[in-house]
Amino acid sequence: MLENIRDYIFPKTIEAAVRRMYQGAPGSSIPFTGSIDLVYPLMTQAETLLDISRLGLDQITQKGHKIHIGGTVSFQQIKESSLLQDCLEGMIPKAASIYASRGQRNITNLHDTLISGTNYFDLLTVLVVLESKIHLHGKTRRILFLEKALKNGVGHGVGDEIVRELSFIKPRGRWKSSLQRVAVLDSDLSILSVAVMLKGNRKNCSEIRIAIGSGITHPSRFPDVEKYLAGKPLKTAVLKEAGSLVSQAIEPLDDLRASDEYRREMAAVLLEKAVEDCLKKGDSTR
Amino acid sequence: MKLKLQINGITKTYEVAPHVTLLNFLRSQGYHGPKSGCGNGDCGACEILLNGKPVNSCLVLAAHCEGGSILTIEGLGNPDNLHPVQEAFLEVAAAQCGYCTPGLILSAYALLMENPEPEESEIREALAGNLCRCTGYVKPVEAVQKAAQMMKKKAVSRKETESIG
Repeated sequence: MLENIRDYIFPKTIEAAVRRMYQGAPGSSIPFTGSIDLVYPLMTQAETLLDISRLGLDQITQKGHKIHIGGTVSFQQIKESSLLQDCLEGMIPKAASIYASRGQRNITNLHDTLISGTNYFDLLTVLVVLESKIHLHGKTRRILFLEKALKNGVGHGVGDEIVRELSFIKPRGRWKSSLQRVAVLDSDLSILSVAVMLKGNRKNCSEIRIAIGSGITHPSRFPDVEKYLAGKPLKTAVLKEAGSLVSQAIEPLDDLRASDEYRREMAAVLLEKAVEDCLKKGDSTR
Repeated sequence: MKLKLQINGITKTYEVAPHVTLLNFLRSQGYHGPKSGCGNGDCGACEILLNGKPVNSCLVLAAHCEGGSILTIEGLGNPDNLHPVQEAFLEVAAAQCGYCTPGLILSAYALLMENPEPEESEIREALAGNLCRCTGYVKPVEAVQKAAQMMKKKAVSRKETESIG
């Protein structure tokens, strides 16, 4: 197993890691953080492993209104972060805590998740609803919306980029939020997850963001459904229509966890539940 | 490649191939407490503490641990001097075949180091990554509750001894 690996290096800087990544054939040197769990498929082609876990990318910080989550911050750190707990009623730590056990969360992070093309974690759904941006460092440095990065892939399929961090503007004003999911067990991967951020009340939805992930090709926003709901009273008939729109818009997976038909149906159910949950948390117009 | 590691309090330099998992490395060095189970991080039989944090050693490469410290079940206590968590597991009969027990005990130990008086829900969450096909989870949860009491008593009596001394 993995006998193709010849070298294991702790680069001293990100720049040194990037230089090394581009020395040989594409995919021959890959950045990772010590765990083989998610990155294994990339490792089968590699000769050199670049362990970037000691480059200081393991901090969660706030600068002004922006929150930065370093690429190598573990899911367990996200779960325990008081800074993130203070944001959107703790929706981000809640999403990170859903994944597996503590032993796995301690060795799983956004860098390895994203360069391996793993896109089924609820945490990604939540980061998409927050309009997070991803900061990538490869041949060039790129900053792009996470949703776009998830759609197009990070690291060009050979792991040739380092995820420096994810950042988002800490929601200001009276946003209410909800993460709803369906899974076989609480600790199991979601069959589908829906994250909603809402400003408004039952009589008027002034602003809404909807992201769906886990059981679709990649976590996505649904701008047409958001536009449909904005400015409308959040009555049952309106929510049913929004549910129907979202069911038509998603591209669900059809796999051993659930059929595409089931996921379409659950998208509508979970959207309605998420909106109702936000409304239950109070009027967010005042 | 050379690998400097502290295992159960003893620091040594080892020779290891870069692709070897921490689990295989530890077992090759005679630490048979961590067990090979699923190989996917799902069962927790291979759990050890790396720099004080529980991790699934089947998923981590040994090379990643350079300069770090590792605690396996062998370093927690020994048959003549069991750690209170080990004692509690014995007293409550929280083990049957024993395959999952090292992982369960280390998860419990990591929890109690951080949170000496955990709620039942916190115990269940801490043990969630350790699958047991023999006992179920009632006895291990009871054992952790008992261990918490034992550790509290020990800490109190140690304080009393210190103040008398």
